[in-house]
Amino acid sequence: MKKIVNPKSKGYLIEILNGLSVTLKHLLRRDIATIQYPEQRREYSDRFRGIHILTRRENGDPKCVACYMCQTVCPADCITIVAEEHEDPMIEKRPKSFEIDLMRCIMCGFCVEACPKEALIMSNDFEMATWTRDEAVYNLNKLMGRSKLAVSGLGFRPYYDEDQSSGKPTMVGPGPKDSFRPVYRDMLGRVDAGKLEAGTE
Amino acid sequence: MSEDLVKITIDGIELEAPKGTSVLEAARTIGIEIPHFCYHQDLSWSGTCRMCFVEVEKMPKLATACCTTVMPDMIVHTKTPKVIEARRAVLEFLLLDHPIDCPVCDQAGECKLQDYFMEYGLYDSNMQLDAKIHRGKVIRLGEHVVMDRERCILCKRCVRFCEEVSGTHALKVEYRGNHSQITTHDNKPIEDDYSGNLPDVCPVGALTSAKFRFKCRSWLMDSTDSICAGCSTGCNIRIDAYKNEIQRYVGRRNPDVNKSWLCNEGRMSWAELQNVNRLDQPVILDGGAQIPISWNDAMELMLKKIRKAGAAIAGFASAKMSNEELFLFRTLIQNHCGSGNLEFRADDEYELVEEKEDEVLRRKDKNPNTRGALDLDMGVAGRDAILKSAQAGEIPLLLIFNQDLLEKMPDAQAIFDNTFTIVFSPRRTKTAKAADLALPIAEYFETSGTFTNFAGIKQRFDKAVNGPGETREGWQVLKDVMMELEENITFGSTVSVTGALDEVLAAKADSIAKEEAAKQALADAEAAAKQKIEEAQKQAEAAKQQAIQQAVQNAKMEAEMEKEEAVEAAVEEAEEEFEAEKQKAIEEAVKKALEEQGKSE
Repeated sequence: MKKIVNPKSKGYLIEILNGLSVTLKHLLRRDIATIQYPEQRREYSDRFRGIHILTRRENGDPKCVACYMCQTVCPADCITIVAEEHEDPMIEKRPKSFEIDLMRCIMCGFCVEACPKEALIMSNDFEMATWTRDEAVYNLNKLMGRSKLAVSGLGFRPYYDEDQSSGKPTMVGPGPKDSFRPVYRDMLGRVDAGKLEAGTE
Repeated sequence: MSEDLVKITIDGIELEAPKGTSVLEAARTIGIEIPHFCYHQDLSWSGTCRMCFVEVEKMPKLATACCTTVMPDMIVHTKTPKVIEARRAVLEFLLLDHPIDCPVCDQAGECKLQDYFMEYGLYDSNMQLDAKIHRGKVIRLGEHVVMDRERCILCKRCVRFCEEVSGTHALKVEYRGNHSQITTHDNKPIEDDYSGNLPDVCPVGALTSAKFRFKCRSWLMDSTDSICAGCSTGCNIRIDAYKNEIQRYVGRRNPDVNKSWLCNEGRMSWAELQNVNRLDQPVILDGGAQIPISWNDAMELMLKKIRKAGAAIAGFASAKMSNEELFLFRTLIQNHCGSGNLEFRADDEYELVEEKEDEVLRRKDKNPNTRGALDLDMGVAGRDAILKSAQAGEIPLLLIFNQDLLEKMPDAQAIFDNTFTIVFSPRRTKTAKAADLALPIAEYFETSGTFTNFAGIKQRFDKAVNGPGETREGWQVLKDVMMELEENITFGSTVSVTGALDEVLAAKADSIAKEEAAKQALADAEAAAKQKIEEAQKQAEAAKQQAIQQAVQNAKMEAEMEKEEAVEAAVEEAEEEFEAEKQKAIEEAVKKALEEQGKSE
């Protein structure tokens, strides 16, 4: 039960002073949460799911082999890939076009988890406001050459043991090997535990 | 139990299988699928992949189910630990040098290696990744096939296909043992009109389609059962489409028509049909230029023209139409308007409906539904008669349905000069361009219906994709026209049209059968009468013959008797004469003797 202040009694002045004292207390505080964005930027987690990055091979081509795993797994249906033949028969396939519609994207990161080639990772960049709708559809060039990456740094990606402090615009070379190993059961329900532990590539 | 059936037990289920079937086939009939790579329903047994191992009681070792025939009282186990262990081992060997490139492999999603690895394999490879032996990748074998030797498991399905089905013997296995590999003879590209089947036949990703390569992943596509409209054979196909674009045709198994196969021509026929030169909105010819109009205006114009023309209307159908469209078209022209000017034969191709182009599938008649059009009696008037009456100005309105009349009959230009022509066409053909009103209709994969193939088998096809622009399904347009003309029509889908059509066809078959029966009865009666007459004639003839014979015999006998008598008389006379002479001689001799006696005395 709250005490109702009678306006005629002038007792509300006390309440106003109470309120002002709270304001004054915060005015004098040193540990304020507000930062001066965009001059100042907050540090985000290494697992932050920002705008996507397509990583490159050493010669600058996209690592992507156009396997459509990301397109298949995408719950928002925002990835569109067109594949074509790669002249190197050991690579065989590459994306002719690769588009992510950031207006549809829900930043779930499934595409990164589905990618078998570590070709698609995410950055810490969350600034995706555009003047036109077309600009929000990121194509191959835009996804590979990300100018703001130096500022934001890498985000959600399959492996973290490499030191990716910040500002590396591309990931070069093969990533670390798969450390996750699912437990498989055969038709008889046996778990091949011994082999699973021993088998390291 | 008949003699041709063998009683066996598979996984505790007793069944009877025809003699000569394999254990794998017998197991299939009761829903037990035994894993296999080299076995194919329409190819010979080879037993090269060793994946179909099963345990048969009283056999010392595991047997390959695909080429072990069923024997009386055989007891087969398909899921024992021994069998599963053997399958795992086989898979491990098959995957020894297998490149783990499923993400870029077109077969992924419909690959048996993937499926069986998830079902039976699931081991960790003992092979180091960099110890795998690399073989040729992306080897182009002709126009339709790309080979990857690393993925090949040497099941030889492709080699058997070229030997047994297409008969070109284009592929072979060269070298022996671990060095074995599939290759063409003299490294020449495959020249085989059925080579498009090789990627379908390949259970893994070793042979992939050059045309479909990297176009779409298998799991993204929607599949629709359909019929190839490339010729009168009517091969069963599966249309795979992604986002309203057809990606490929795959042979659908039908042992009565095409088994599992398709010709290259039919397999690629969609590419041109779907995209090239499509008519995507109704157009009206105005002073030499084609001006787009709305469907509403087009329908209004068409109805006005049909009402005005009445019984003088003429219809030119085609063998590319489905049975349903043909039926509705015929009902409109014949029953509603009461016109006999109905025809579908723009050339003599219909005569070739059963002619084979080669020994496998293709036929010379390149229309899918010639048999259906013939069954529905679409060819009534004769194309020359229609041409002549159009030239004479007797036909005010001609409906041409999916028929490129000007291409097939160059002298048909007169029709377009003297008659108001309405052309239903999926593409901008010469005819559609010359038409006074051209209406865009769907191709066969954009609508549903049935085709009757050369052998009279009626086969249903379904809608796989939507037509471009404002195209409408042909049968719907015809149905709407008839509904507007107050015909009592309530068709909701092509299935109901097929029902009505079947009734008409059944009635026709019935009347034909009755006619035949009447004819037969008449013929029987005639034959019986003829026989009777013949018999009577025969009898008369026989009697006559007998009488003649009798007479002759009598005469002969008489003559004989007379002759005998005469002879006897002659003999008697001669004898008498002889006797007299003898007497005379004796008398004379006696006289002489007496005289001599007298002389001498």
